[in-house]
Amino acid sequence: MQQRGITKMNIWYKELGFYNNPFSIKPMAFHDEVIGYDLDVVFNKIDNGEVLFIEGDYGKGKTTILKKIIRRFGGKKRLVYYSCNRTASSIDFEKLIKNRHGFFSGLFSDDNNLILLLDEAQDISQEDSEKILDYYTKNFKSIILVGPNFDKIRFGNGLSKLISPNVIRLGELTEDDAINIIRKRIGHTNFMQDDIIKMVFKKSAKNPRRLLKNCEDVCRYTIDQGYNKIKEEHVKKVLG
Amino acid sequence: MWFNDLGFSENPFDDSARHKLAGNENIMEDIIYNINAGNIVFIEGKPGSGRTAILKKAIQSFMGFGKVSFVECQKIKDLNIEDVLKGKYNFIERIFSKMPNGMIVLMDDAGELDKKNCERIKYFYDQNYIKSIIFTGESYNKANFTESLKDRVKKVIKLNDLKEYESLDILNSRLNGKQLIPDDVAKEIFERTDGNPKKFLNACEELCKTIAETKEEKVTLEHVNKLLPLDKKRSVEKSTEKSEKKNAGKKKEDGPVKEEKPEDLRVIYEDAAERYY
Repeated sequence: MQQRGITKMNIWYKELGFYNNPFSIKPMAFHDEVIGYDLDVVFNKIDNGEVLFIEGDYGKGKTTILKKIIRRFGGKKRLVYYSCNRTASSIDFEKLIKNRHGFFSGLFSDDNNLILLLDEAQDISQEDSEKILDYYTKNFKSIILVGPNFDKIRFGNGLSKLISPNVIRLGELTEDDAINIIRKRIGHTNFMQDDIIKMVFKKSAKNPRRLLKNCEDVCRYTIDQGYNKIKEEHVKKVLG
Repeated sequence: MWFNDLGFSENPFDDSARHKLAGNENIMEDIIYNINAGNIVFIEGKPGSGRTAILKKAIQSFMGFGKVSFVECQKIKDLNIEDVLKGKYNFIERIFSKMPNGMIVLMDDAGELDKKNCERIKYFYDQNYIKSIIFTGESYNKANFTESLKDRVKKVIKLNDLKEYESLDILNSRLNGKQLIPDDVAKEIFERTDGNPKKFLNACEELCKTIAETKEEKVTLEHVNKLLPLDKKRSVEKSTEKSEKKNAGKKKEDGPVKEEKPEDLRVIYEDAAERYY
């Protein structure tokens, strides 16, 4: 019989004493990620009922912020999450608002003061962006849009005006941020020292997700080769 | 049955997961690692190059945990990933519409996934409902993925064509060391099936069937000629053609395609190709 995949081989992160992959790119995996941005500002704006736009490239941590907002404001059926690239047709807001409940509770709920999270906002149609405004005054307390580039999206005039003072740009990852992220994940271990993290950071185009992927590859390679400390040559070998 | 006549209890050329993988043994380790580590991997290869075989092996490795979902994208018309995942759960759990946690999703022929499902997958992956995903398809660049899903793909693994010695190796393990097909004949079959594992095995199966029917001991070149006719002139032509094609293909890969690829994708893509092969 074949051996089970799970027990079959030595996985590098288990050898280092982790149960799961510490460099997982899933935003849910770690709660207290450093993202180089003050989240309280975002929370305050939501509390004040403003329309926000979070701007950043792929892998910069947009979803991580969304997840934090969900964690902070979620749980009371007050949040509506929608990804704009799901359909080519227009968004059915009525349905979205009703469907956040099961059928019965939906009958008795009040549909005001909701918070709307729109992921992939670059794919929203102009028509929808005008429709949002009606619902903003009627149902939604605050709206958070997320996308790669605010200037390139054609929103309706009214929405643009509401958003423009509240565009949050996710900054570039700095070297210190990178070290912080990695240290939060694996602690202060001798296995991966700061100068190694800096080296990997240089190869990661200031992108947090790339950084995590690269760190995983380097660690895996080093352990597989039987070393207990990452050296420069390992990074060079793996990342070129 | 023909294989009983040859002394086998089962068809040695069937595509069940108990067999050795055709030429891609070391890929398996990598894939099992990536499943454990919670990554998304895309396996790229031509039809018959062993994509589905790899997925079947993966199922075998993780069987019994109730966590593996195998989805054949082409067979399901109105695919909804959410239903597929929930379908794994039993009646009571479904009533509470609980989402499963830490699923391993294997998607065959994922090139045609629509945006809606890509988005669902991305969401479920981010929420850790899905732990890891293995996609297969003919081409990663042509796959219909949304950019945000593409960015989450850790690695693209390219399945290589079969090499000659690998084909002999496979044949040997499939036939349990029986010399039904001599090496030089096997090499000839290999030549005429373009390094495609599936075609190669199918041809071997056909040939063994014929010798079982005619009660001969070994497959000879004549059998091969009958099944895969190829006169000398043609074979010369074909081999030059093939090498030309190969060169052309290589040029394409190295040249213009690369330039079209966006920066970051190229990095992943090349990493996958270079680092492990």
